[in-house]
Amino acid sequence: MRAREVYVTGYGLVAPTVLDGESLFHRICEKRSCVREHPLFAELGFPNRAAGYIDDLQWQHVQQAFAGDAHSLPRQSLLADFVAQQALRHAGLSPAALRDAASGLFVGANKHCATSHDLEQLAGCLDSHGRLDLDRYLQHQSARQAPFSLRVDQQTFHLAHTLGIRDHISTHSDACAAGTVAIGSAYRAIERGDLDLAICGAVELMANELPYYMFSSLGALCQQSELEPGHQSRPFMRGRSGFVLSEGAALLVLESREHAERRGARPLGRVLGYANFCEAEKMTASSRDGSKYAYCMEAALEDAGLLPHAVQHVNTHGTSTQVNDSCEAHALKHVFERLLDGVTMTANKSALGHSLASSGAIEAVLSLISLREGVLLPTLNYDAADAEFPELRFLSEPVRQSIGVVLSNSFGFGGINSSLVLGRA
Amino acid sequence: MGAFTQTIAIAGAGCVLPGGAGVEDFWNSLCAGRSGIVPLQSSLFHGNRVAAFGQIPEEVRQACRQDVPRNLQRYCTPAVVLGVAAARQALQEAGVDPRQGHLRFGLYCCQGGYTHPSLDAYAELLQECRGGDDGLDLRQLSARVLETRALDPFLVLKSLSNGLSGVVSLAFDLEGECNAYMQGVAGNQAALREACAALRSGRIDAALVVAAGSELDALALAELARAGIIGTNGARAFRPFDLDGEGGVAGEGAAALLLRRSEDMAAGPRVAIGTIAAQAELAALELPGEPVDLLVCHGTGVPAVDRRLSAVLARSRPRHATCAQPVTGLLSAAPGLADLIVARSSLLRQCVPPVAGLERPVSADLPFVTGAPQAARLRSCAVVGRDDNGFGACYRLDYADAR
Repeated sequence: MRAREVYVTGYGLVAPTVLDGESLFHRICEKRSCVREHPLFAELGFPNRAAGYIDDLQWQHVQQAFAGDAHSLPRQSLLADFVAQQALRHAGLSPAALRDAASGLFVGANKHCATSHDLEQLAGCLDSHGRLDLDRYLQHQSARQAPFSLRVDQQTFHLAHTLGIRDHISTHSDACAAGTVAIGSAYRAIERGDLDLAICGAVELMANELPYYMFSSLGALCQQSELEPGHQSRPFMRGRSGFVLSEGAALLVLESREHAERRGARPLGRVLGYANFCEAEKMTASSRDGSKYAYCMEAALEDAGLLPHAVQHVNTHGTSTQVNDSCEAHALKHVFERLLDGVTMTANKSALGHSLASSGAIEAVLSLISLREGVLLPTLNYDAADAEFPELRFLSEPVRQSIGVVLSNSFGFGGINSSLVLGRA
Repeated sequence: MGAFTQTIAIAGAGCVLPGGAGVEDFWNSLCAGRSGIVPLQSSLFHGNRVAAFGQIPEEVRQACRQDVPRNLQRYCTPAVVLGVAAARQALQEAGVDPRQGHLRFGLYCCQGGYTHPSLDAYAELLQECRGGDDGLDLRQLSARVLETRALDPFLVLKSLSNGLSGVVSLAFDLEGECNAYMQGVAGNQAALREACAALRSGRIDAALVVAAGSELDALALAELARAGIIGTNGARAFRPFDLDGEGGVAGEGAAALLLRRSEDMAAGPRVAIGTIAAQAELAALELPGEPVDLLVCHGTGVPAVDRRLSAVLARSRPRHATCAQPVTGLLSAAPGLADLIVARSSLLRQCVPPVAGLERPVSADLPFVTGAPQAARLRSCAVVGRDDNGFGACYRLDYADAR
């Protein structure tokens, strides 16, 4: 028997084109992509300019909502602040609530990268042999940002400091699984009785040129520049050719059932189970038969005390890369076998792009809205007639259907797998 | 699955740190006051203002590389290589091997970093794409990367914040629960906390906690200098808690611990991890309520700051105090694990190593051991770390001889 039930009582979200979870959900229901041509990528002459990015108007909104001097904070801290405040309001909590409870903060983030401007500054300090003159660089170093503006845990530190987090503070950097791992870790800490209240999720801002260079050099990004930006990410389709880089943030408020009931909070959903594993297979791919992804999904269901037939809907990782989607499809067939007909699936990255650490947290929010609203999201750019795995029931249109349990997957480079089981309140 | 309430003990340890490759070597350096901080040297940059670094010698790097299977080396930064070596030492001391399959392992890793990417990733391209007026032709650079594939294709894998956990799991065929954290004191405490919780819950039988990082990069050093964390007046030594301190000196290295439930270990002397506390501000950190026999702590090398720190740390009422940073420099990835290794070694040997080079303490608040190592009766220890963003963490360790 589970030691303590874990409720979700609030969430906040910022994704490309939207400033909250409901707007994102409705946008995907309307089959409107969040992926656009990135003006920076156009300026730099990239052959493929598709990306999901938070635009200037959105940043303006985020800055205006900040009570202090927005320019004193690195971007990731500003975004984390905005999303955390949104989540706390949604949960009906004041920021001070975290000071008064056994509280924890679990934030996923992988990298905050330099820009071309930083490279230009460097180039100006190279000597005639191509070596950097560090003394000169120190003298001319830009003061446009606060020190440590690229440090990965700055947003965590900012939230921990301003919210007065009492008992647990962690920055999770499990590549594309980091958001899900952060939520799962918070769930475990509440479930075992260490915490009553937690903020968890991820903040990732990688839709800029240097991450693009790295992922492109590995061959992981979508190669189909002839397609409209919004049509490029095509999870589980035969013609898929890689992911579209994106960014965003989502944070959830988790509480023990007792804590939520004591303050009369309305639960939005529950975290029922979780598993995470390193698979020791390869740095960039899982076992081709899907067995290691399947092991993770089955372990999460076991943690929830459920059998596969309890799951009605799967929020897949679905990156739109050849290998990842194939491994995940085989894993889903292994886990659900003859039950596949009764399970619908969605792959949100076709609409959002791949926001790496944040993807799992954003997909958890979308799954919770599906559970609450009884509406299942379509997978944009999916056409059953040309799907590689037609036995998997991806939806091309939104469907109204009451569901009780969603399985949400996130798998990352470095061989890190994670699955969450979410339930209706 | 039953719930375990037993204490968690350190069954094995490993390190590759400035001053020592291996726990024994590191301990000897601490006792001898032999610093691993050396004049800073790099083929990619030069300067006089940042003059010293806690550096792993090249021959040690090469030896560690032998620990990494050849097919994995293309995914490794120099720091990840050190992490694999430290992990191997910890597994060996504990006498456990993930390949044997009879224990359920968990892997908890921490990396560090202040900037991304490092200079070495782009050094050649920057030189090539410089315009006549010292500017950078950004369109040329993008064309070189995207059209002629001028970047290392594995750069994204070398840049992973969970690259250490990926390579360690592959190097040791370690399949199991896994978490990767950033960074420093905060990341170390999160990894240790989760490892201890997993052991207590019964989900795993052995937890491998590994941390590795290096700031031997011009951009990282510049960022540390801009934040005032490292000195920029050419100092050659790091003197925390000393009136002659001239700021911090950065370092690099890796450390690993293998944790087990005490009840699963053979009889003998052991060091158990008790409470773990963390706070965004060190001043608010919960320190042990009872006096401790030993305090292992962090300083800054800025006398005024270290004086204030001393007053806070004195709340733990230690009978002895030490600090390993004059030997290692400031570690971005493994500060907590390195200090836990110092604390464990001290408790097992009943001896406190001196603070290397400490001659004029900033205050009398803390009973630092200076000069030579000091034999002492040690049963309890507090390890208190402070990150350069103010974050603080405290571990209480207890010594017991279960023979």
